[in-house]
Amino acid sequence: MTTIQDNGRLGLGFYAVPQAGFMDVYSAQQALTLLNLPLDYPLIECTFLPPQIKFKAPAQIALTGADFNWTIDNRGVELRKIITLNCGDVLAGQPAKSGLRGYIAINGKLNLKPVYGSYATYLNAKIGGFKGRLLRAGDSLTWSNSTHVAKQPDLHSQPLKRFIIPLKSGPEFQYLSQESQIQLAGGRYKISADSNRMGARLLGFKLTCSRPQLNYSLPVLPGFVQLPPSGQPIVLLQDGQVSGGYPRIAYIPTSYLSEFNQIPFGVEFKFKMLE
Amino acid sequence: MSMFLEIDNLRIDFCNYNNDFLLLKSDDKFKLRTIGKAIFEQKFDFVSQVIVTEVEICLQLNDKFNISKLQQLQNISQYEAPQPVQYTLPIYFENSEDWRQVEKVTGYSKSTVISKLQNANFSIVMFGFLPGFLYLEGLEKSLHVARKSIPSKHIAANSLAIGGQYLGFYALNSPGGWHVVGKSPISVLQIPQIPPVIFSLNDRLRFVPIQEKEYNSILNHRLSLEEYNAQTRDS
Repeated sequence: MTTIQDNGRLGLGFYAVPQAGFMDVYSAQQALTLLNLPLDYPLIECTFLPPQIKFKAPAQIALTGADFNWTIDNRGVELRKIITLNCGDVLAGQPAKSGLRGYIAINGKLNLKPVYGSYATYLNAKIGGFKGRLLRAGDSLTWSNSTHVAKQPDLHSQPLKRFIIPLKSGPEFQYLSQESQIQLAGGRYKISADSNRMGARLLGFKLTCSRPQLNYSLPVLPGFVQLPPSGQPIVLLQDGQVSGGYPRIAYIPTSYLSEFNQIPFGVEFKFKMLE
Repeated sequence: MSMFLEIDNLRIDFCNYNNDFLLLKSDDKFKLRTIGKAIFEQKFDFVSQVIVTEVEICLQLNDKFNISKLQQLQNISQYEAPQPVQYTLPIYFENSEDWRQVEKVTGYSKSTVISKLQNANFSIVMFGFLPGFLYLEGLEKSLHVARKSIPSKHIAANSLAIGGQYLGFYALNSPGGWHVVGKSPISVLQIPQIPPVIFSLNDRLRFVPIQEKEYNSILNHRLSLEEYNAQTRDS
């Protein structure tokens, strides 16, 4: 699943247009910084499966995020380094390991039209990015070259973290049973592969709540944890809807979403309640 | 931490969630919507997102926020709310599987339901869950039909549907659990313009039943909402 993203479009939640944008802000910004590009430039985000890209012009790129075992013409290339490609070179990889999402930045500006001031793809409304949709085989991207040649900055690799995700209690936390409150506070969960940019479905201890359905649709933000009747929580993400009728039992603070969005499907992680 | 503000003579209860976001609540839904609109239009520099629902407003805060900024919210009372606008929307009440369920639950025939819908005036009380989706208030109790437990995979854009106590309008194709009763030849979405949806909160909608022929005619002429309303006003 490959889309064009940037830091998203804030300020339109009033019209039910979500922020969209990078799922791992940290890695995306790292790629842009490596190439000395402005942090509001668009780049390519891929999830789990890497795209195969043939370059029909020379380019400098940077690859960050998860390890996709990237190769250029079958020789391995490193993450977090400026890479120079020649005309005809092919970038390819394998399914992501120890992470979920990767970023490909090009030393230049992708030739795309912004929508509401952003290049982020919002699939539900088919806006932004490349024709408002996922990139697919046969698509062609062009860019205007940057006027400078990026020099290798001093960037330290991201420290390997055990997946411990901080959590804060949400507006409906008190409706959880006592046992469920304790379970959630230090809960172990896995992210189902049935997840996407709108939300991550969690698999783990079934939580119970005295109010399975709210009387009204209430506001939600990326990072909010909802509890549907199944008892398996859902974490709303960057493309998620802006309101919903399920109890909002907790939320992942925005600064930790980058880390959460790199947890591979099916890999256990732990919540840590911050209060 | 729960406190209250007084905005425009209305007591608003609010909760500050760790300076990450604020939730504002009130029992006066109409006023809450008006205040929500006002807060949105102010574009406070310490607010990155304003979400207005029927009984609660959420303000996502950024790093420019501190407690002293709450004073700026209090001062919203200077805002002059624009008058709600009345619109008419033509609806082709096409036959469908969903009508069988609506007739079954309400006990009314399709023509009775249409007659009741046509005689009512609806208010836009909420945007969302998708851009262009409208929650409309004003559906009489006898017409409430609970949402489907298994949503249908595809509801076409510009569909009018019943979901519990609300009438809803889908401006985009989407899966959905509401019961579709008809469709409009007029599109209310105007992406990438601002606003993305033609309507404002508290605007009012009346529905006029049309037949398939008129539906196709309006569709082919690509009439806008303004053009249609001007036409119906003049006739």
